Amino acid sequence: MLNVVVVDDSLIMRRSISRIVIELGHKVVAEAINGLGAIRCCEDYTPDLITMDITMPDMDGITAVKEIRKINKYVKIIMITSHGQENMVKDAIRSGASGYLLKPIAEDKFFQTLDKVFPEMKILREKMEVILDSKEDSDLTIDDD
Amino acid sequence: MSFKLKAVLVFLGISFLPYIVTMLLFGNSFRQEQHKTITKEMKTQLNLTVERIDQHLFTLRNDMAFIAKSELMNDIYTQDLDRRISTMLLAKKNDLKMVGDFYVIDQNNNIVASSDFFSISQKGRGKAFFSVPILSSFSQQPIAKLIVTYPFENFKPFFSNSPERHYYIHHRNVTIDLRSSIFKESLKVSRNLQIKPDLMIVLEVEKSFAYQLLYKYERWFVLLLITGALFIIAAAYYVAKELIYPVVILSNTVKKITETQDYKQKVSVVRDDEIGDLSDAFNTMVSSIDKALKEKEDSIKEQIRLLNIIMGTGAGTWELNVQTGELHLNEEWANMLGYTLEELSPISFSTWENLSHPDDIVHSNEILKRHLGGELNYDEYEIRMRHKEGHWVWIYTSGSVVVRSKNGSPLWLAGVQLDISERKHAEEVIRESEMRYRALLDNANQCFLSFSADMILLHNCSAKCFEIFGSDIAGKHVAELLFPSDEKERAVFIEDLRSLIGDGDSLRVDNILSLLCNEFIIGKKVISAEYKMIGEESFMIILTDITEQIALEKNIAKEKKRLRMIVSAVENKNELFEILDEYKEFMKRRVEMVNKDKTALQNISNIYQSVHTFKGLFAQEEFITTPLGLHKLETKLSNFLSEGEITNEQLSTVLQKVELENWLQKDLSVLTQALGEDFFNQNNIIAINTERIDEIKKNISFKLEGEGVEEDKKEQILAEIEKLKHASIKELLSMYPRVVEKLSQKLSKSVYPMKIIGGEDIYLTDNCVLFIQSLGHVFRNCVDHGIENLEDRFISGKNDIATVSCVVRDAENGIEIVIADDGCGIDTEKVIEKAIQSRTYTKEEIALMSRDDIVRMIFHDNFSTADEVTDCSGRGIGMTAVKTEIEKLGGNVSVETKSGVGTTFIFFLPNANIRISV
Repeated sequence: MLNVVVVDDSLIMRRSISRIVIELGHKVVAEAINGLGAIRCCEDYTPDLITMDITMPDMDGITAVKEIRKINKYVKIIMITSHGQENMVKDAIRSGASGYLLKPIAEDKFFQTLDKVFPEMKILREKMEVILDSKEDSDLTIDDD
Repeated sequence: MSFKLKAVLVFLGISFLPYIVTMLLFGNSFRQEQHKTITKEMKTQLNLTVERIDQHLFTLRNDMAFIAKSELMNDIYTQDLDRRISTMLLAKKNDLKMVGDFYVIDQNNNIVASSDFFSISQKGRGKAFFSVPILSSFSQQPIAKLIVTYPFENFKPFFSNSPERHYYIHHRNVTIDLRSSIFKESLKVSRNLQIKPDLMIVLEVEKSFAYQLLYKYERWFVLLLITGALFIIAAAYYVAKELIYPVVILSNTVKKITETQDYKQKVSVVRDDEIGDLSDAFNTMVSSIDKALKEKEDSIKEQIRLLNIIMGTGAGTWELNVQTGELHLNEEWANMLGYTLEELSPISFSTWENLSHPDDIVHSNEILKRHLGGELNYDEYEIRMRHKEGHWVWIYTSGSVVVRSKNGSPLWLAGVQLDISERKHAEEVIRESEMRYRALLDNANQCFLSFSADMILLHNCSAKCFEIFGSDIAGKHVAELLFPSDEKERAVFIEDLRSLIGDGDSLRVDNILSLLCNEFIIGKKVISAEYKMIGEESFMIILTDITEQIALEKNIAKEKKRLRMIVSAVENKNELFEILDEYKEFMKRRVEMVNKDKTALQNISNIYQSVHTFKGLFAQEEFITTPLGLHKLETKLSNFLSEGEITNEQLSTVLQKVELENWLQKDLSVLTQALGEDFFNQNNIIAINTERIDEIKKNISFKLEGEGVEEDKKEQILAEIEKLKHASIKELLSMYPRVVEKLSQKLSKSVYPMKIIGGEDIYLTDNCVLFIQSLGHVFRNCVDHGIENLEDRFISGKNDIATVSCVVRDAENGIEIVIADDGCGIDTEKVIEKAIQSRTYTKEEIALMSRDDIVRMIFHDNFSTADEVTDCSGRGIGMTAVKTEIEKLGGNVSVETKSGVGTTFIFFLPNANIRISV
């Protein structure tokens, strides 16, 4: 389970991202409405993942990524973007963001991006699936007996 | 023990050690002497200081005694004694500046006078005391004591000329430190002050000060010592260099040469003296030995090398006498073709010619000729020769003229020959694989651009690339190809790609690649691009021409729109018809809607609202052309609204001109085409031509194929269309809620919107149509006769809004349609009255009837309980018709009514009228 911080100036976006995060079995530890809040959340909660909007008042997402990278090398940051912001996303990724998601955010897209950003999590899940499958098989043979 | 070590030891023994020992002894005695002198001087100076302090204290005491003896002191209880003493002390100021405070105590130790009472009461802290007895001038007996205190700081001036010293003053148990710095080691010089045994001054002199002078001498001494030592070492070095070192080198070199037998080594001593001569002579000797050895070795090496070359390459050698055709070959030459030399003999030029491939020999002879003519430096070519086993072997041969006759014409040619079949084979394989690869690329229908950091395209482009770019793109700059006009985009593109080189973080690389522009328009083609990074430094862009695909998608989208419109029309046909009716009305009246009495703006805003509503409605019905047209009209109107400069006449013209009819016709024709003319003609009951339905189904199912529509949804659409063949009861009844609503409005009665409950999946045979139509009478009766007016409902305590319900439910061997209202019920009295009045039954007959029978009288011909005939009901034929119809179908009708509560009609339809499958 990942500890996630959701950063977006729009309440609706925050709600919808939070809902997806929770549905995927992770935990939203904090929400922030701009880059400054994101940095504070990063210090206070040491999250595993931050979803970061690009355009926000006071401090935008790219500056926030740069600042966060100064204090925390390990947290993964996914940029939330819309069409036409490709160049800004490139900047963000060079500054240390780990991935990006295009609005509107769909659960399956979020899931795939998480797999890319946390490859170890994907491996773990696949292992678990194998274990679960084999367990089901063995259950069947027991039933036959 | 080596020569070197010995030399060092001897040197140390004879010079260095004695020097050090002597110097140290001398230094030490000098040091002690100095120490003594300094200590003595210090002590003398200290004693002088102590002497001075003694003197002062003595004077002080004498003065104090004088004051005590003065007559003034006799009256010690006089009040101003303290002032008097102060005055006397002031008079002696110069001598007595050491005095701090004073006080006088009498025989009973009471203080009778003091300079500062408060300070005195704190006596004994850091102060010295002199007490002088005050004697009575009569009896010469002491009557009191004058005690003087003074701070020890006052002693400081005595020591001021020796700043480095350190003083203590001991007074009984109190020690006062007069300097802040404390040193652990000190010279102590002390002396009891004779005046008072309990006062002692101790003076300490810091040792370090004493030794400071000494250190100065010591520094000079150490410097001298080191200089001397260095001089001795330098001398030793010189001796070693001049004498020992060359000898050691010489002996080492000799030893090395003996061990390694390497005569290239030399003694590197260059000197003018005898030692230089010795090393020169030695070097000359060694190098002459080396030279001799080397010459011998080189000649052997050269021989071995030549042999190795020939053996190692497995080359055949040949020598040809151009004049005689005499040919010498070696064993390898013969082996190359599977022969031994013996098998080939006798060997001549014709042997060679016979073995060569006839096609190649012309070429080879040509080369030979040109070589002999001096045109070519080498006689060099590739040729096929026949192997002993029959196949051809590729041979490379190279040679040149080695011997010439005296007049300069070539005589002997010599050369080597190599089997290059394998190389030829490999070349063949590569050529083939490249052709296959190219064929693959050319047929891939994609363009592969590969390049590295310089952005210049590599040569392997597929045929598709040529098609896309219209020219050969190998060697061109990739960014210039993809962004022919946009310099800025191009720069960004290049920078993005370059930033990825050597990045190594695959996640970041993937992210950036996925963000690059992935659709280009080149010429008139739409090209999609996919980026890949190959290794750490190269890129590949896969371009696909998606022009046709996009065109196809557009067509599919259009077709989908059409289908959606048809499906929607079928699904919501009733709403659609209603909308169409209203819209047609709107079209007809649109010019009239421009009211001359109102301003143009008011008119526009009226019409604007209608247009907006219709736009929304038609869009909801998935119409294609009409919503677009209405949107244009809406925009136009809204422009008028904002500009505000239009007259009613102009508005009329605009509305007149607008092609509302055409747009609608276009959409309707789509529907007509798909669903048939009948679709619009039958308003209530639909049954579309079966063949047409099948056609639509086929069409839709084909179009939906592979369109990403989920299977469920598809099934649903198809089933919906299937249902069109026959209408379910629910659909057949679906016109009645509107009938009820309209009638209730007309009669100013409020009725909850009626819902048909049940009957979705029940399909009736075609002969039921008349019956369903006749049910209108029942609903009209319910609203008109059944439901009371508002006042009556209020009086009987019912809900203001009445309910008419229609339920279709399963029954034994058939279904039942139950139509009920919560009105006043059937008034049996009125029925009987009416029956008698119309002479249907006599009073006697009625008396015999059950209540049910009486109620059923309403189904008789010409019967109506209403007093007046309205335009909707009341003529009395209605209920009869219903009864007739249901009985035709083998069913029946029953009525349940309760005065004041409501009436329920139950129509039973036997199974025979129900389709088992659609």
